[in-house]
Amino acid sequence: MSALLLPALVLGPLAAGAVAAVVPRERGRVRAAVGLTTAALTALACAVVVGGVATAPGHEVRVALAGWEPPLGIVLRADAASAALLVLTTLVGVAVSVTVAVRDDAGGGPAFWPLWLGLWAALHGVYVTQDLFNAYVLLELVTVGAVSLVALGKGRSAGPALRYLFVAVVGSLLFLLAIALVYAEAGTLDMSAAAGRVAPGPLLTAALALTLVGMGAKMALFPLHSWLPVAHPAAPAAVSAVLSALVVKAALVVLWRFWVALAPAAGGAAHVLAVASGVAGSAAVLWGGLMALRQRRLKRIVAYSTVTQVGYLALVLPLMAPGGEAARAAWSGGLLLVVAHGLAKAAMFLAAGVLTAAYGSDHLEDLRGAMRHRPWVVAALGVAGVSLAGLPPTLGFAAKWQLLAAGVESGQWWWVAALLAGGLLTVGYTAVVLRAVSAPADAGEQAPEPPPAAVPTVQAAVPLALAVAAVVLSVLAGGLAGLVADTAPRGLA
Amino acid sequence: MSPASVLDVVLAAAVLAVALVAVLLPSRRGAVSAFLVLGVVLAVLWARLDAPDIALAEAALGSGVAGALLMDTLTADPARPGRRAGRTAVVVGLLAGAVALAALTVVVRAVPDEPSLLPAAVAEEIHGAGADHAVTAVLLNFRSLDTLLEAAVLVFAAAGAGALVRTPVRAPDPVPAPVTALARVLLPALVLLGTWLLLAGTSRPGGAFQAGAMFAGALVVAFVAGARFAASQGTAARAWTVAGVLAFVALAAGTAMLGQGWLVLDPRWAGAAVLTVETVLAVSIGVGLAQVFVANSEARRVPS
Repeated sequence: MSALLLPALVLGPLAAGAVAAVVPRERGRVRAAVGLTTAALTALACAVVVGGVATAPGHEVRVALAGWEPPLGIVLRADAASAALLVLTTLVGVAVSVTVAVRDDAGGGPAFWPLWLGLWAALHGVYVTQDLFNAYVLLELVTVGAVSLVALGKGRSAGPALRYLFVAVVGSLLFLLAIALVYAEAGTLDMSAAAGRVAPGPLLTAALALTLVGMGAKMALFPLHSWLPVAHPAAPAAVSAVLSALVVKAALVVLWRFWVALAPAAGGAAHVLAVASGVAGSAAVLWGGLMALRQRRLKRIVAYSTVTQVGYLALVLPLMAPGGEAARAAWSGGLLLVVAHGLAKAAMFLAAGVLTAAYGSDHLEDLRGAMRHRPWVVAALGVAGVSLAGLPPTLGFAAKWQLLAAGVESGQWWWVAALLAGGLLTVGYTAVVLRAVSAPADAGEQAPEPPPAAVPTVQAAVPLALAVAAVVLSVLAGGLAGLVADTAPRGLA
Repeated sequence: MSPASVLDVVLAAAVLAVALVAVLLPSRRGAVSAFLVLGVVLAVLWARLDAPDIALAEAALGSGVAGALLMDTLTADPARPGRRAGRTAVVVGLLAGAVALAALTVVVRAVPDEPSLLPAAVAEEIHGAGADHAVTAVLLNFRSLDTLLEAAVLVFAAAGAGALVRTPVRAPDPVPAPVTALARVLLPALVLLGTWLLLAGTSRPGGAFQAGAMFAGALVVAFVAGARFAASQGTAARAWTVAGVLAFVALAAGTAMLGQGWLVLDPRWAGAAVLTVETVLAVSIGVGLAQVFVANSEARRVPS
């Protein structure tokens, strides 16, 4: 059953997106109905597939499409890591769909639905594909959807969207070149088959470097990050949530899968590149954190926070490099961090969207008194910030604990320093936000507290639900981490 | 050096030279012209590399459709000056290009000589795959998921472009008589060429993407000549844009529920299925590309 449903996770939302594109734009309610129905069915199918992965022998569900095994055909395969990503995407996807269904504006109008459903389908594909070229096509679909969604933002969103498009396409082309090089040497596009057919040399080194730079650009890894703090805030609120929580992770997942499959064969060159990734990641953690502290607009703060978190995720490559127990801890810690950051960041951007809608601005000065008028929304920001900073009892804590363990176990304490410094900076900018929204009305000679506009209750409740999910899931974190670590790809052993 | 390899070296040098000209020319008109020439030279290069399908696609999409989009944008605002690249940018760009070229040379020389195993595998399984031409068999059978997703990329690109045109399409401007006359000649020729490329694709180079580009060309010519049907962004146009992807997904779901699995084509009806999907895809690709062109043209006419 789960093997039958695995391709449906991609083709279902894809077809629904195409149908939504045909519904006239004036019929926004019909488009929203298509979107919500798809979200519900997708969540159901995801639950079946995740259940299938949990119960299947070897914890994987596998389908060879069109009946052709590699090297001729394409294989979709869901493992424990895919399952974790599917759970994250379902939670964020349903939250975003409900938010936009309740208030059209949060998604940038009825054009949101076809683009979002197409993007959702492509994300699912990225999590489960085993084929390099298929991953490239799926990333293209992600880019087309994400860039178009940014352009739906109010005001001056065309410029940031175009800049995002240029960066994303260059990243894709570098990855395409890497795929061509791997194919030239291995004669197959299947990742696990290629792993056994490549040898150390300039070809494999170039392929790894190109993938690191290409995916680094797409996921805004320092110093290729400058498009993100412009593009993510320019998008409609629900789109910002999708971009930060899910879209940057698509490139990350491709990078990790490629690395785990092919880096072990590259020897010393892969180590050097992993260290480069770690240095870029550490710089991202510090730079993103410092920039977030300096911003005066809520959405910009949250966007720079994403730059920081991508930095953490880049640390996973050097932490995995020594292999063995430490590598498995780094792999499962990284995946937990992807889930934790996705939930927290979606909660933050959706909360920022509610506050922006209520106060007509996301300048910190204009949000004074939000703590009193919109306590649940501010609570969502606070809880999400705690999870981002990696404090207990959140999923963020469980994830960073695993990464710390990996760093200590493999004797790479310098990456641990970056992890801890980033946590402090996160506490810092979360405190800046909380202080601004809790400033009393009569502070000094400032203007009186602005009265907030009404926002649907459901929309205000969604961010808190996501933030709370990050706390609730921490209870399951131990089991989840164990499952992900036990089923870690062979390349890590 | 044999004459053939001299030709190859000249072609490769021409690609580099024209690409440099396209990037460095300060005039927008000159840069676009150089870009169009680049498409033609690239198409010839692909043909020399024994990849006629890619050569056709490059000529039809890279030069044809992309060229139409660029020229249309250019004529909208001809007075606008281009921007000369700064000296630092040029120097850094040339240096980076030289380093990349050197690195790529080292890497490409490391490519093993033995041919890939895949062409042999394709040749072994192609009977019953539904198409005699290897590229078509790969695109519509062995790796059909890729093709489905590529068609979906165009669907969502058209949806994204359409979303940016916030006002309904106006009646087209009056068209000069010579344009209408030219359209009357071009339209049937493009449709005929597209149909031939579509049908030929099962046994020789050609296929849905190249045919779709021809259909898109026909629609763009009709649009420029003032035909109302080609300017429409209504429900029918959008339905045609998504029809290919929906037909493909329907085939996938049908084979999963009633047949032997997702997208598994039975040799008994594989040929019919491949040709049907290709036909719908070609029309959808044509309408979808034309929709992008119309959206681009309209977005410019209506200052936002």
